[in-house]
Amino acid sequence: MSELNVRLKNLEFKNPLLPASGTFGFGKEYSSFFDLNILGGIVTKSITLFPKSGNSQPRIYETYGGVLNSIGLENPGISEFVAEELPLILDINTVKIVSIAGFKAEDYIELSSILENVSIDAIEVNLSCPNVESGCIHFGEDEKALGAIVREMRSETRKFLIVKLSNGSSNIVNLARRASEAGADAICIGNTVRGMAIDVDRKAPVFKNVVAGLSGPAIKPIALRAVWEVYEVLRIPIIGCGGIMNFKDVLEFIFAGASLVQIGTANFLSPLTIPTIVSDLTCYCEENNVRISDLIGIAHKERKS
Amino acid sequence: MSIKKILSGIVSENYSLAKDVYYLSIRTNLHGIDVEPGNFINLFCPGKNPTILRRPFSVFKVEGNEISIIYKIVGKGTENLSFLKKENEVNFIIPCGNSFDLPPIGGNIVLIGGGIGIAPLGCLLSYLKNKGFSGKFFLYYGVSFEEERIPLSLLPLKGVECFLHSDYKDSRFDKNLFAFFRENEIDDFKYAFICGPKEMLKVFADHLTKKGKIVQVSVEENMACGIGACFGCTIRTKEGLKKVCTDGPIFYGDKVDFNSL
Repeated sequence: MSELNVRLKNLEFKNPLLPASGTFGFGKEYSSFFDLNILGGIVTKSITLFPKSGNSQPRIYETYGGVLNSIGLENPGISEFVAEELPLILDINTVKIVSIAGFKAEDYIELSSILENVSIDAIEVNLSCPNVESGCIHFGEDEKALGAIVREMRSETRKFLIVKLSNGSSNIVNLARRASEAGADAICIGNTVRGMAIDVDRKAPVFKNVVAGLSGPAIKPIALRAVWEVYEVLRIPIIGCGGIMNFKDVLEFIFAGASLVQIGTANFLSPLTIPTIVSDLTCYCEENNVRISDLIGIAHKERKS
Repeated sequence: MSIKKILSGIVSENYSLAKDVYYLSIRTNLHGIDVEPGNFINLFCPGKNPTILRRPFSVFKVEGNEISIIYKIVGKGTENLSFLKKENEVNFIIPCGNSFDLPPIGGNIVLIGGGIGIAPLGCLLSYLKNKGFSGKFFLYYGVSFEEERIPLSLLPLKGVECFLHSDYKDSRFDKNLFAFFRENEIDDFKYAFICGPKEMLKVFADHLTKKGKIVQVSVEENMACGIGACFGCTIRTKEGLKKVCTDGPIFYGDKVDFNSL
């Protein structure tokens, strides 16, 4: 499957497909459906410094073409994660990426120094979860805070650093530039988009936090636009994420400038989405005699020519 | 429990049982379907306007290579299901969730179902009878309106004492069913199994637990993955956070923090 290979710095991805953080647990749930070694990389659910119980119910609400979630970063905390969940992840023959989230800037720094001593390949810095009261998106949409966190993390760790930004941000280019200048190795665009729903019977918001995160095909054009805009002006590798359901969606993101993509909500529709897309992409590359790495950003050239 | 998989099947029956309530039977190419009472399937709801997420349904019946659910139309997913025709293809994840802990073989058993909550209880009843449970069964089955009750002929009711309730006045049958239960309450049993709306689970579980009964409830929650990966259906229990889709849907009634549902 060498035609699907993507290399980012020292990391060799056997294909451009990663699960999106939060939709794939810590991997084991999907191992009854397919061989996880097929993954281009694995991205864990976001881990915080201490255990987090998350938001109260309801946490999931389907909308037209999408899903609103208000999970609120429920996770066992870094210590239990390293002890209980990480060993299984380390057994998978793929690029291992741990997603981290914090409520204070120091959380990110401390988490990255803990992970520096663990044999994972990359850290994804969640600066875009919309379901918590502090941290995450509250840093990720503030250029100064974002730059400071990434710079400090850069001085703590030699791991490959992916900064996950919100694709709903209108100043996505400035945020991505700031992350790049602060030492990020790649940008992930993006997370869920802030949205809400109202229960007409109760005449009240569906979610206790009112605002929740929208994912699924409804947000694909938004994420694609954000990838396009960043690729136009920056040379930092982009991981595209938002509403990808099939291999054609993947191609759109790659043509727009993404080197890799993340699959989220589509895993819920079918736990076999990622292996299906891997096989469809392989067919596409064979039939067209192309390699994925030659297709990254190609739509920009086509537009200019 | 066997490993989860995605199964395809063919619709063999899909017809209305009661107002907005349907019976869906799916034929698979398996020789036997490995599910236990309390398990659910996570069903893709195909249609012109398909849903993004699957929908979880308690298993109602398993017979040979066929598996059946009953569902009530409450939204787009279940509406899609109601349009399925015989021979349409569907796919579902199976088996999902845990199952009821079976009681010892001799004692009397109380089953309490509210509305569509009758589904897993029907499955449990058939299973226990096949296993040769010799105790007496008491079924309390409440619906908001009489026309929402499924035909009793679908349940293996031979030797089961039934208490049927419906309330025409309003739809708070959780409260009314409880009042009805208190009027017709028996005491000669140890094990109770309950499925229905959240408010109903709480009032029954609290009452019966106080009386020293061993209560198991089947809990419902909106789900995204249904396989334990997304943390969308987490509830609080006395034993910490639990996922309804993999730690449940069956929980002991004295453990659940019903306010977190």
